Amino acid sequence: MSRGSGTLDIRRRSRQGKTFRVSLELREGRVVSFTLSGDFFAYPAESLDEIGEEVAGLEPSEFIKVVESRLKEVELAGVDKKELMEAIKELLSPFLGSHRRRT
Amino acid sequence: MRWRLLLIEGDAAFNMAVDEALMVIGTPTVRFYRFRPSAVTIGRFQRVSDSVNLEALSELGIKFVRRPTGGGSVFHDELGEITYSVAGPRELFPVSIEGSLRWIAKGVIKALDELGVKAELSGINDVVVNGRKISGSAQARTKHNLMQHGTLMYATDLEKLSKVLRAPKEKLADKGVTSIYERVTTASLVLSRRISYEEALEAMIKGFSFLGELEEGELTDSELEVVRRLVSKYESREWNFRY
Repeated sequence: MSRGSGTLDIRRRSRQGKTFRVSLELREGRVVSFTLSGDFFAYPAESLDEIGEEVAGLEPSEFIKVVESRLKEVELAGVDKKELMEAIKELLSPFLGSHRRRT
Repeated sequence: MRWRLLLIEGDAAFNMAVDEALMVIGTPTVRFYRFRPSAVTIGRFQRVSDSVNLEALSELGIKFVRRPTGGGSVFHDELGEITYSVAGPRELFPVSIEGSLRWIAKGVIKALDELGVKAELSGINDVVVNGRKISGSAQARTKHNLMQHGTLMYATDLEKLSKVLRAPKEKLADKGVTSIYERVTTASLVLSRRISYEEALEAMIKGFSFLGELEEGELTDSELEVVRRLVSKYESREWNFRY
């Protein structure tokens, strides 16, 4: 994986017994694609697809802020937003570190 | 309260199209149906590769379709599974996703009780007997309406089910088992006698009568129009392989 580029994937079992998977593709330090999949429930359903479209092109730290903010409008069941954000931050931690060092 | 009872059934794409149409239109409805032929459905947000064994599906000639609802993958055995769906305006149901999932799934528990099976809710959307799953439910919402559908395995071929469905290792480990086969059951297995479709259907109708009076009806022309439009979505690769 070159610096700031690559495919990232993390699977977690939620406290409510559901599974979720976060998949991210980064190119040159920016998010190219983001998919949240699993056997949880979300309303409105389209909101997760919309978030995926909105975050393309963002740097990891900005990406986290946008996802966190947009998730406030989504009702989730089977997985809570806190554990979802923890997984996303863990996945992106190497990139957040290098971003901080650069600035 | 009076609910329309629908007994219309078909293949996987048709069944999902009808359920979504019921959600879109929102007439208070209780529906019972089979998948003809047998099929697999996966949750709205599931990855195909994480939830089904495509090789096994191909070998057995079984199709899969992505549901409009969240939750996990389900094997709908034409000869051993009955599916329910309940739809209507959101104000008829508890507000939260969890609360309404559990409230509607009471119908399955009551149906199993009619058959002589003592079942209980587990987690947010499963019904279990002695710790083994016998039913699961899933739900979708529009701004104004809600639709929930779910299974009752009265005589499902569990070997086939464990071949076609994939469960994450973490999920099985959590339940202390190594294969899906070990964590599911059917009403026929519990009672040690073959339950017929007619018997299961009668029990489901009685079980879901906790909602109110169920009166048999048909789809309206406007609902059929929505169904016609939606069938192509549920047959499309774009929808079914979107994750």
